[in-house]
Amino acid sequence: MSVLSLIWVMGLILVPLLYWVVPERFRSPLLVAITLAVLAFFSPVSAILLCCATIFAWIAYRFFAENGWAIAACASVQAVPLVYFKATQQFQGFGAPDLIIAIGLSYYALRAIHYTLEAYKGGLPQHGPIDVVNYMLFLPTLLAGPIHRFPQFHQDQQRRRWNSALFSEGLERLLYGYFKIAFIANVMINEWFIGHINDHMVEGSRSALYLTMIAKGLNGYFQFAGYSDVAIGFARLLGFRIMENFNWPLVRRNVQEFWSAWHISLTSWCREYVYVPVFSLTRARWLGIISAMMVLGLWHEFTARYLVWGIYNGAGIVAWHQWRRLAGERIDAAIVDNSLAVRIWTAISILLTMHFVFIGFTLVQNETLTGGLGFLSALLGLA
Amino acid sequence: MSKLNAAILGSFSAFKRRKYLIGATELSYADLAAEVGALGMFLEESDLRGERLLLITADNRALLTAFYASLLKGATSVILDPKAPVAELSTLITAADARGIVADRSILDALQDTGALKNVAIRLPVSEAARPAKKSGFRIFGNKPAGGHIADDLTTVIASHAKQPPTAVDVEDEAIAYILFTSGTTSNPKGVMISHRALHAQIQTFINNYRLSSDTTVMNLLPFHHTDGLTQGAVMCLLSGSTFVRPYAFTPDMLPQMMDDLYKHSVSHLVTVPSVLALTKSLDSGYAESFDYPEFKFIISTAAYLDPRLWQACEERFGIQIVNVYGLTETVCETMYCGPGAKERRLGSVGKPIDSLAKIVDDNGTELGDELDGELLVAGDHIMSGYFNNPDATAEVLDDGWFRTGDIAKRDTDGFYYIVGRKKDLIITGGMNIYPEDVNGVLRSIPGVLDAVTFALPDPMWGERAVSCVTCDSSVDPSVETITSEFLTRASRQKLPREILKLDDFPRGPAGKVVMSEIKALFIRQLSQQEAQKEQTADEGDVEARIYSIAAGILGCETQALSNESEAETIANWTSLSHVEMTLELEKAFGFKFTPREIMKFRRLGDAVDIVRKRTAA
Repeated sequence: MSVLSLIWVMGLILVPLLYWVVPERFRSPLLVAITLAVLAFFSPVSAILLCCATIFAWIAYRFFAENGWAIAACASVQAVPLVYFKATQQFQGFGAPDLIIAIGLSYYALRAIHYTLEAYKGGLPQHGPIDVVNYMLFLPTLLAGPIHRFPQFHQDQQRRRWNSALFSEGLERLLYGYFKIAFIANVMINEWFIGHINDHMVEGSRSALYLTMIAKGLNGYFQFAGYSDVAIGFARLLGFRIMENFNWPLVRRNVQEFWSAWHISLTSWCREYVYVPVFSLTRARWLGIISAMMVLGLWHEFTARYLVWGIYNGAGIVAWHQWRRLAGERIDAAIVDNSLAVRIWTAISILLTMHFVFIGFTLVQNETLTGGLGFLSALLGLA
Repeated sequence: MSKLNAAILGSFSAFKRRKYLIGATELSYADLAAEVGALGMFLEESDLRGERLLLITADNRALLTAFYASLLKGATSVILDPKAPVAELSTLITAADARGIVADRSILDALQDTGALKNVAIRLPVSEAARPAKKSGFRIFGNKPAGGHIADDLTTVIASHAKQPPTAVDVEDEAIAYILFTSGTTSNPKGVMISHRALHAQIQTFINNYRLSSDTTVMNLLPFHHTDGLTQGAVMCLLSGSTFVRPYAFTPDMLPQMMDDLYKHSVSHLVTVPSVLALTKSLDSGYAESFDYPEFKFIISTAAYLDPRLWQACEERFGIQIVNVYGLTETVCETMYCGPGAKERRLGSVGKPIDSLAKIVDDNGTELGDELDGELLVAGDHIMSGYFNNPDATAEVLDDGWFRTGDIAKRDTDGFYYIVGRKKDLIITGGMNIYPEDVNGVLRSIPGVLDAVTFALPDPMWGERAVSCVTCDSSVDPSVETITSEFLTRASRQKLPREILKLDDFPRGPAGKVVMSEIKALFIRQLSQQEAQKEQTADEGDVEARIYSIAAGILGCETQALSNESEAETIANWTSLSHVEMTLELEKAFGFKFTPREIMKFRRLGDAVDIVRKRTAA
């Protein structure tokens, strides 16, 4: 099911309508019921998995919040279905069971782990089991995130009321989202831009490969940002302000900044629940960064290409920290009073960052790691 | 008919469809009018005009219905704290000399054996579990209370008058609308009498100055037995057609809920006290946008001194305006306003008198000029009629229309007033008035306590806090814990001194009078010794300063810019990298390793302070 599907678009119209018509006390149950109905219709196993994750999250909070090992075990259990489904995806046709589509698992598994670990950290507000159900089964973020956090969701739920300005913002975001997906990504980039490369450039030439890399990078951004806009807009139609997922990532001056602005809900999740724990156990900053980026990569898919992609980006961040320490800070200090130099340096930084990131994307835009490396070799003139 | 009653009837008629109360349940103006009409008929039939009606209930809806019915029918409401201990209530009920009572059933039951109700002919119990199912109004049980003179089933009364629109009897403007007791836990209670005229004048000032209308919504969680909750909340809303939001009584743990409810109910005005504003510092950055919606106008800070630093910090953090106001129960509620207009605002001041007069006089009663300290006197339509059954006390404070506030104030050359001290013996803690002599009386009534002295010490959270020194009979020698628990059986918790110090004897002058300056110094010395001991073990003050210094170095900012609430969302350079650097530097500075849980918990600077303090103390 895609946000472009007719049923989803119908849902965007009907769900808010129903939601605001029913009395306040029925609104959350209505939303939960719709989520379960949608899941049960398209993938009953997803509905069961989501219910289990929700119940298990509550049990962890209610009974094990003070026990570090029990919480670690609970978080691990929450990760098992995610790991299983990600792993079995790769072995279809090689003896693995037939693929069962687990809708939204990638997102709600991370939400459940976040909730479990926050229970241990004492970062959750006072709440009851129904609040956890409302959080885990929140329809707008079911398909494509963001991996929003419980405290903010809970606060929004407490504050929720009809707000015409927020509703209007929601409609606006939906429009932006669909414009990004349907027009910019699908028409402008995929049809026109890539069509132009295919029709007018020599296949396999370095310039064609370069422009293909740029086009695919831009396509990835506009597709995903569009999906996030739809989720954020949908949530606003229901009176919730869920976290932003992108913040102009393609105009960032370094790879650290890029990863603070790209898929924010996932990168901040990895920072809080991978980087910080690894650092706290080892005191090795670089290991924390590499681990976090590896998890970020493998979250997309359990494959070598995503593992390498994660390490590539992690290494980029570590290298940037070293560069900053050795020379970057001195350069910044030297040109701080020269606005022209600052602008030129900023432009160079943005271009370098964008290229570093887009080169990374080529590793995962092909079916296999070797395919990606082959593309890269050809692009760099090594093949 | 008094102007006040005409205005009440006008509101009932003009705002029928508007929501009046958002409380445990919701109540429209039309529903309120119906219930007031029904109860009013009953009060009229009971001939309560000119009599006093005690209102002692935690049920907002019941209390307000009875209060408005009482106004319209010319009775005087006497509102008491439903949480007060029976002993305190008995004293005040006896002093009120009332003929009727609307009270929670548990309170009536508790009062049965005290004899305080022997002259109270009409008793209307309110069920604490009452929740109106539909439009039937609050449930009031009508079982005949043991020993009562007249029993009435008010549910039946309301049902039998259900379709009666509210009407008013011919009440003069000078008739007493209500009495609020400002002191008198054990003896000599001081009940402030407010007339219809004074209340009406005060509410008109509120409506004009706060720009209230049927489009505004006011949240006020202050108690009704204090004027700030009653007049600057319920009555102000009724006469302006505003919606009054009061879903629960305020307790510190309700603060996040309160902040969420502001947006949820589109609150335009929040009436609160400085200690609640101080508590907002503990909220995380998720609440920084709590007031960020178009309907919100401003916060009204009342009942206590508002520290300019707290004032400014709140305005900056939340991007809102705070209107600081000044007044007393004797002036109905407020008499000076610092805002909301830009020209009427000056940080640190209580603003200027509106619809009233003010002057500053010396000990001889001679009016003083600008920038000179003296006692503040105020005059206007909103001044009380006097203290109930206490002409001597009334004569002490009312002189030719001027009311002596007992506060020492000064006026700057632009006409702004500043409260600089207090002449009368009063402690204001978290907006609540505490009279030291009341507290002393309660303490002295505890077996084993020979004498007591109570005074105020400055407090960063509550403005002031009451502390007491006691001397005890060596043969009984009650512990501080015993004194505390005994105190709570005799007086409400808000009057309980924050600290009680047992002394062998008080420092006294030649005439045997306690020398307050010496006893205060003695207390502070004792307190300092305790603090010093704490510091010796935990090195507390130093810990915070060192952590701020380390953080400021890494984050590239001034230590003054940091607070315990500082976190990644509020400090520009607080990245995951600087966070790690801070952790490592703190470990180096304090010589221990953070546990993984501590690192995960460390989000705000205050978390680090707590962790280091715990570890160093251990």
